[in-house]
Amino acid sequence: THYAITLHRSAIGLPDKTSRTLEALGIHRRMQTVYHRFSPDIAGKILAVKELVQVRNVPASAVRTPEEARNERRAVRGYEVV
Amino acid sequence: MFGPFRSSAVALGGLVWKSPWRLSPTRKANQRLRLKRVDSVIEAVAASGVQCKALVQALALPKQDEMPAKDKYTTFNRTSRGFRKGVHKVPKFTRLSLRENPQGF
Repeated sequence: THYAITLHRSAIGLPDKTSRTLEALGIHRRMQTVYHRFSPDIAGKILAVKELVQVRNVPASAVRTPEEARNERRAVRGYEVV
Repeated sequence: MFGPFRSSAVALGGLVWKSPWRLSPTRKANQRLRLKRVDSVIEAVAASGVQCKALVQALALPKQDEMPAKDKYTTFNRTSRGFRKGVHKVPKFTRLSLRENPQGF
């Protein structure tokens, strides 16, 4: 139900329209992943920057806000004696 | 004194900014990978089931395995001999889609 859009190539040196499309998608830096619900306007934006971006189709359960994604990456405190 | 165009003896010798007329096998392999990645993006958008004009146009583009080598590694250029030049001579070619050329060229 959602696109997971990750920016792999930057828009530096490309026409302003391209970087404004990335801004409209909510992407600010390389390797940032952004989630958007399926819709024709988002599809059009992805296709406008298809050379810069990688897309996966994910279910709604896989959508993470930036804070949730950061907490998942964080190391768990404490240790175990094996 | 700084920047890419320093007038040093090495730079003025004319050998530093040589560019081959064609792509090497490595560059061709990377070009094919890039085309495959764009194909996968178009596929993902098509699989989502939305309908839009941009998708219709994107699906009309040839896929990487359907493209002849001539279209993958060269593009149309009106001033070149043979009306084709290496795709690596196009600025930002790694971030542009250059799949279609005028008919007959």
